[in-house]
Amino acid sequence: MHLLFTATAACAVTISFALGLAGLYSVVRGGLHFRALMAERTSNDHEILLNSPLVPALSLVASVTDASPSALAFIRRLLEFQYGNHELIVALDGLASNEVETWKREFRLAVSDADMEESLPSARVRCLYEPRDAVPMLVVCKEKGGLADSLNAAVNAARHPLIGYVAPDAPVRPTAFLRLVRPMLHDTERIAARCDAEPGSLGSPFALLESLRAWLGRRGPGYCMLARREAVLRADGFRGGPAALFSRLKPGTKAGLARPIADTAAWILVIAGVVLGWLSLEWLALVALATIGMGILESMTAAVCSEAAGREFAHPADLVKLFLAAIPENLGYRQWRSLRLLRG
Amino acid sequence: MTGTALAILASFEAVAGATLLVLLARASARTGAARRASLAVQPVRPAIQEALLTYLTGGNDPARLQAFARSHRAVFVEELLAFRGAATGAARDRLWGLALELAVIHDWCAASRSPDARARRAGLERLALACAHEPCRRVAGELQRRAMEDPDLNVRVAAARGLAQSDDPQDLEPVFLLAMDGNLLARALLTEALRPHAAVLCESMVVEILRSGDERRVIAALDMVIAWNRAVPLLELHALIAGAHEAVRLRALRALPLVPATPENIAAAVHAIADAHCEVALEAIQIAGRLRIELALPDLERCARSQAPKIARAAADAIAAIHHAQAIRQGAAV
Repeated sequence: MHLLFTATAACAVTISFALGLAGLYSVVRGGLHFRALMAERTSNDHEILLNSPLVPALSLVASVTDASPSALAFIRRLLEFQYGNHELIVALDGLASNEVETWKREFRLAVSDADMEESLPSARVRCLYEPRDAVPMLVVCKEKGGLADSLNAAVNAARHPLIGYVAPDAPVRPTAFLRLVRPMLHDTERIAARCDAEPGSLGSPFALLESLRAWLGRRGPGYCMLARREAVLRADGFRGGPAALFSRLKPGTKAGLARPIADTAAWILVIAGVVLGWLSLEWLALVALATIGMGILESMTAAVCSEAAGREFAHPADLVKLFLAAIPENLGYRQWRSLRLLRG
Repeated sequence: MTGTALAILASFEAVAGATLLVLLARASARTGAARRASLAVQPVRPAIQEALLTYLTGGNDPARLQAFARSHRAVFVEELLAFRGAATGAARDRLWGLALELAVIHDWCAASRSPDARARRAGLERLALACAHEPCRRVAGELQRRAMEDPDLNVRVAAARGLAQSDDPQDLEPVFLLAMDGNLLARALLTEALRPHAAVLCESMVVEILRSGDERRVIAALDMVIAWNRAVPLLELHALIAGAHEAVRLRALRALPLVPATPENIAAAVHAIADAHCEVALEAIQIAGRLRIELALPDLERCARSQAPKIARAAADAIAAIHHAQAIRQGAAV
């Protein structure tokens, strides 16, 4: 029993350390990636890509569940996105007739006779609408089915080879898709690309470090995504959220709960072992280095790499403060966040 | 055992921590330097803008501009580039003439010879902008020709964008071939760069490629022709419409309005209405409607009864377009 317990604790600590190392690696790799992107950034080809017929056309898909001012503003913002040949497909998910009337009035919608495939499963479509004005937009009015169901309906109505998605609260520029399509032009075999916004000023340095780690490790929420329509159809469309679809299209990008679980398990096992007298006090130091130590290194690396990746700090002291904030962040705050994450 | 693991882990973290401290020191130094530089140029920037604006609108105070170019070269170059979008005609020539006079062009030439590919690319991209001005082309031309042999594709594309502005037809060939063989991004950028030469290329190199039988290049050439929307003197497009590769057939159909409407080309388009590949058939139906091909009416009527709604609808639209054209013609005759 004693030996089995020691082996289990050793396993948990090793896994925790390995996951910490993987996190550190992903932050460094992300830093190098963004640094290379920054160096590659050219200012004089956006307009060319905007006007080029060779850039694959894009269907931007969105789902709304009401006719609130924020939903209307979100769709208006999507209409401002800059891309050569593109259309916007909006799924009205189970809206009441008065709400549909609001959409019809706000966007001057009329019944459309556009074709719609039924390649992906979705709730029954009531009607298709399009604006009377020359706006590249199609509105799919459908029964209630949830976000994934609505996005599937939008993909069914999409006519273009690329599918784009923008999260409603995403702080992305209207030129985001012109940037996002570049890797797909570099490599025509590539089926998906996504971007997360660089964290802005989030007030708390802990929150900023957390966002920087997610951004550099490319484990962010996925504000903006681009995928080939064929690949979306092959993957049976949206099942969970858009991030889940992206994870299926590009395995290895999933955020995952592995690290909080491993860290918590390692601590519980080691503390229990020490209390029971089965493990020496050295084990506490070992688990602290494997979890807290690696966490501090990862956050410090994120702070340094964010500067290398182009993040601008108003003053060198801001960078140093953020760097040092990695220590208190990993002495309580991060463990508390892990527990919250585990409780869902 | 635990002690060894502890020692290894502690050593690893100590080394990593020390490395991070060094990196932090360097990053802080960079941030500080950037801050000082930003503060230093703040009062100068508006003065540079004003001096450039005066010069571009006909003013002549080169001494002031020379002083700025010496004392705040990076900001001066930034502002010079910022003006390029707004400057056209004589103002544009003055802008690039100034860049040449103040050796900014020579800086970019030096950058394009750098061992660092990113620096070479940046230099050549800037030179490509300046090549709108003939004297700059004379300075940068040879460098751009040499850069077409660069191992880095991005560097070659940057050089090609400059070379595409050359008046010498011999310079166009490597640019066109790079557009054929590069990735889609390179093709998109170079297709636009070559647009002013589309007519010349469509009469020579494009026709050669389309006759070459090299599927990959044929697809690329058809994509470029469709993007230019220029007429191509290719009488035998029908061979491509009847080709084995569906991507070629599809693009050849899209290019049909750009080639002479020979009986063979028209017959090939009509034949393609029955293509086994749905997308090709759909394109053929749409082309038949767009070009008002009356010969296609029996096939279109058959398609209008198709079980596939897309095909049926496109065929109905095409039939309506052809009948509409017939009615107008008959009305005009009456």
